[in-house]
Amino acid sequence: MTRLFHRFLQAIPTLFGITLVAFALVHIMPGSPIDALVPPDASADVRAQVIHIYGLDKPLPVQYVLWLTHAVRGDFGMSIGMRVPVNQLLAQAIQNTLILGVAAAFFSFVTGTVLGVLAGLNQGKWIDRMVSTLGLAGVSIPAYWLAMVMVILFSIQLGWLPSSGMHSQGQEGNVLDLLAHVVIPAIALGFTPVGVISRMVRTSLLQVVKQDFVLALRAKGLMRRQILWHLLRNAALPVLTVTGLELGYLLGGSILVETIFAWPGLGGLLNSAIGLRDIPVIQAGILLIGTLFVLMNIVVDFVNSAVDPRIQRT
Amino acid sequence: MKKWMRKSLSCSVAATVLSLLVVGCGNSASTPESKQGSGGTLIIGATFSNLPNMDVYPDQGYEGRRFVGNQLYDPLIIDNPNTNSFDPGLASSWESKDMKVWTFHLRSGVKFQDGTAWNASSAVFNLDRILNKNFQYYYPQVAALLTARTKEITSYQAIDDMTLEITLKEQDSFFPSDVTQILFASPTAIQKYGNDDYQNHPVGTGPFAVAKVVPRQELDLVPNKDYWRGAPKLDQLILKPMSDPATRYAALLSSQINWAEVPPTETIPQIKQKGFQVVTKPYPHIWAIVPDMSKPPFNDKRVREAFVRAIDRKAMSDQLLNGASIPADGPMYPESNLYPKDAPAFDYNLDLAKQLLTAAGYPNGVTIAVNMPSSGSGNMWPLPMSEFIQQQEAKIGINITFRTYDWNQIITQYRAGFSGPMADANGIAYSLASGTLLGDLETSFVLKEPQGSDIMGYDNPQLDQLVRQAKASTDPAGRDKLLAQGWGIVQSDIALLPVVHDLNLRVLSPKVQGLVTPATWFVDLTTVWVSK
Amino acid sequence: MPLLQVEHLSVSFKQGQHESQAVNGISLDLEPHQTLGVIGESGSGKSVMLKSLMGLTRSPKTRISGKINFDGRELTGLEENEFSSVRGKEISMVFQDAMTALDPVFPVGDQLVETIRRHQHLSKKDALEKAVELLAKVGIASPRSRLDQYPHQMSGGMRQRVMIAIAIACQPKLLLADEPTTALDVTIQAQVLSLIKELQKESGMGIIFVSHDIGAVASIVDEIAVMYAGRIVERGSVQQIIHQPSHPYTQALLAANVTLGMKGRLRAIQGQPPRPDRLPYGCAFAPRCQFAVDSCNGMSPKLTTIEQGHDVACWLMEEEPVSANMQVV
Ligand SMILES: Nc1ncnc2c1ncn2[C@@H]1O[C@H](COP(=O)(O)OP(=O)(O)OP(=O)(O)O)[C@@H](O)[C@H]1O
Ligand SMILES: [Mg+2]
Repeated sequence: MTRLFHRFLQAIPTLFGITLVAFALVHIMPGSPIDALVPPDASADVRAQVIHIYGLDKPLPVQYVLWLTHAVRGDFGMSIGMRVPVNQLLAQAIQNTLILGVAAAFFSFVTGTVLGVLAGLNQGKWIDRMVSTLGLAGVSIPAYWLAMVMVILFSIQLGWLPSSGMHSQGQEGNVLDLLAHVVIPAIALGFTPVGVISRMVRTSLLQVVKQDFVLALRAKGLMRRQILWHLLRNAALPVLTVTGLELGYLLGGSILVETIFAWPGLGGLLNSAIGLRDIPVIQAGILLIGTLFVLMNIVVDFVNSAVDPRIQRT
Repeated sequence: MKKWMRKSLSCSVAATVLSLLVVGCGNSASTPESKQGSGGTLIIGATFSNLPNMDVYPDQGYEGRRFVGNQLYDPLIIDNPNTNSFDPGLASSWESKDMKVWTFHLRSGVKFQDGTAWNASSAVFNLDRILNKNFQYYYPQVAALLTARTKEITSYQAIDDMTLEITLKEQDSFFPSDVTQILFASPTAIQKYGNDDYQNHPVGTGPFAVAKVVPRQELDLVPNKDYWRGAPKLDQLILKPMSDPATRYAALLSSQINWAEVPPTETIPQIKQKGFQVVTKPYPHIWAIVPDMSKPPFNDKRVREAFVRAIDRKAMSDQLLNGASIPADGPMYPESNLYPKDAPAFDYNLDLAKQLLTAAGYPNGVTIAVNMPSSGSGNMWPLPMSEFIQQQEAKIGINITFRTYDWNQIITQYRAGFSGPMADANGIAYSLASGTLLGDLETSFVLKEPQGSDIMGYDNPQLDQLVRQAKASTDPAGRDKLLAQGWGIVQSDIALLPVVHDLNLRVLSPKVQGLVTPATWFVDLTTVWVSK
Repeated sequence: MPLLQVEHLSVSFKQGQHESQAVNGISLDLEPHQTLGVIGESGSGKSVMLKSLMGLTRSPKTRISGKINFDGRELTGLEENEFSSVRGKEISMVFQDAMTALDPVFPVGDQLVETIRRHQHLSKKDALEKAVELLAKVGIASPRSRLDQYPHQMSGGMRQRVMIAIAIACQPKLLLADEPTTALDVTIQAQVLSLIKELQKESGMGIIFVSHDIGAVASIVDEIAVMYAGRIVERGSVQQIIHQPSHPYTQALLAANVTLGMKGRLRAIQGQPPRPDRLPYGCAFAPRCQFAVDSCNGMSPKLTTIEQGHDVACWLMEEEPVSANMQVV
């Protein structure tokens, strides 16, 4: 518990750094949000008014302090482009992205683990070779392509699953409907990490299998299934670390997948916000993603120490 | 940039695969054509990446205006999408003797959908909102977006309950065009919700009203039964943001939508084979390369002509784009009443192109750089198109380096012109809605930044003179004649390197009926219904 | 009837073209209560022999022949699942390094309990009680509090005791100890050795105790077998082996042991042991043997009895005892 508290305390400077970066980035970016908002032939006073409304006429340090003081209170202002509270936009977007991300992570973790175990236990056999081919495919097949092939097969030809969006008409809040919508995007997004995870599981498993204690487990008379459980628990650490890193990849990769599937997540929101130079949205978005990464690191850390008792708990 | 490129590349690969796989399961192509009918739900997969703002100036470009603005609201004058002419809108008639003071006779008996009456005071309320800084409901955010349309206005007033008068700085016969862009919202709703929140509760006089918004996913509209032009035939109209062409294609084929804007061109043959309606029609649009005429090699008209003649624009339209465009010789599209019929055409002719280039002093060819967008509203399919152009120009010795940028970056670059960040470029691939507004000729080829967007360094006093005349003309027919002449000058000067005119490709399910294929970017959805 | 009767046990590993003959025709007997010490240089096949007795070397790449009669049962033909119910229950093994032989990510309590419950029908709670008893029995203080500890949280000696507790959890009839004290320091070594001895006294199990170190085994074993290149080259009582080492290899081992003290790793004998995939024809020790004669390279010598309970496999023994020539130090 105290360790958790410590980790959070340690994260504060990092988060502070992220706020600086977020703020600096949007002001380094070429183009002004005003250009997207005010046509070049607008009169100077209309331009000045709009600049004033969004507080962009104040000196940068003042803007930063103002933004920060509001941000710590959870107020990220109004989107310039959409004229909606940033909080509202981000809350919806992150929720949708997390639904997709968690589904993809779940898919890639489960599939990667199962394939990795199969490959590791059948080292050198056809199943091993098949898994490594699949892993290679995962890294080299573009998500876009895979997405399209699945859409053709499962949406267009077979009609089993919807091809885009998050819900059918009038079905918002229907969990089953949501699940049907998330299947293809989650697989498209989670396919690349499958290869990485399954290879990690396999390598890690092969390393564990070599260790003395596995022989000792057999010498105790344990059955295959029991031994496998020991193997997995031992192989889990590097796998979980990799999965943690892959979660980061998933967040990044979601921009493309969200676009393909018209999935209203963070990726698409930031993408269009960047296009519009929508400063409040971009800043809050970067901060949110940064915070997520920090949180994810803490979680991965904790999961690791839960899985491997050798990692010091203080 | 790289990333964008790869995305688009894999996009076209995927689309090709897609079309290959879908082959063979097509049902026969027959569109049951019945004239009468009503009802049904039309679900449109639009190209915007987010639902547009629903205030009177929706964002997401003209697409936002097409599917949201024009469905919720009306202007005083309607730019008739089917005939490319002006129709009376919330003004049943208008007139101006001197092209400076304009009188609009407002349509009587029209109500906003919340019951508020449409009259001169609600019109003035709306103009105050965007022009009167002392007005309680002045809203700079929308005012800013509309300045291009309102900057000539010096005053306005209600003459009587149903008459509005607008006075301009100077004579401007193009003003009706600007008026088509100004939409009117219910003053009651704005007062009730306030400027910022109003967009979430929009109320207009238009053919549809908002029933439900699922943020960033879906906008459900229902018909306005009392619409003054007659109630729309549909039961329901649903808009879905789908920014990726292949997404729209897949959604159409899996029946998630029944109307798809711009699918991938390579899928057109399959779409037709499967019995979908592929709709194309010329509208004011030009996909061109905007040259920097202030420096070599494009300062020489012979080089510009060589460049244009080297591109087999017919092959591009018919083969590369599967009929989604027509070849262009100039910025104005042929079906327009402003089309310069006598202007020179620049047919595909490699020998002539080569000769011209040699005559201009480039017997060994020349290397140029062109910036281009990766995608974006009206940009069609920039990657395959630029590759095509690259190959063609290489034949006469013009070696092009295309540099891909995000669409918003291209817009910024364009505004800054060739003295800004793209100083090292010789041209920029750009699409223009040339001819949508009467003022387009002036904005694009006469006025420099910031009043206009003549970034080419193009100057032709004869054109300036013509435009001045047209602007002051009190006779619409005469005005259009002068304008057509002006477009002709631009075409023969090759102030833009014309490539193709887009045909506004969209695909509809065979069940979608009654659409009058629009002749502009906009579309009238009141005539449409969806059969069971 | 002996507890264990091994006849001509051979184990070889296929490795590509080659075949590694790790165990080469070993025969041995073991009575209940008896402790057999097996010593030999690194690589001589001691561990492979022990593992083979438990069926742990069986794999498609291993060739195993010979007979293993355990408590009246032939083990060599057993199915894997039958064998696994013998392992840990009737035959147990204690490994050299408990640090690596215990699963690092499970608490030791779990590792005990899973063994107990594998072979005995006990509830989780009863198994836990039993685990506590066992820990107490191997001399671990406040055993209950140790259940939740992980191997890395314990000292080397304590880990080895846990290992032993696991091995004796189901009162095996045969305990195979593969250098159980090598990783420990001297005082702890002695404690662990006496613990094993005590446990044997109580339960009467037979023990095969493998070591590099004659000194270590001398105190607790009844008989010693000396292994070289997969064979037993000499076998006899502790007295016989220590005082009358008859094989030149045994003599060299003893000499090396004295020179290096108790802790020495056995590398002090001149030369290298032969590679198991290239065993020489004839006596495997001959290339390193200072007494080797021509006949040593001819055929491999068989174990022959030179006195009651003392067998040696050396051509020199066929003529006369050579012990007089081989005074060492
Ligand atoms: N699974 C295996 N595959 C191939 N060769 C093996 C295998 N296990 C053991 N060997 C070989 O068999 C020989 C005997 O090994 P073993 O482990 O029995 O020696 P040891 O006498 O126990 O040595 P140490 O004192 O170092 O433990 C060695 O040469 C070893 O390399
Ligand atoms: Mg060994």
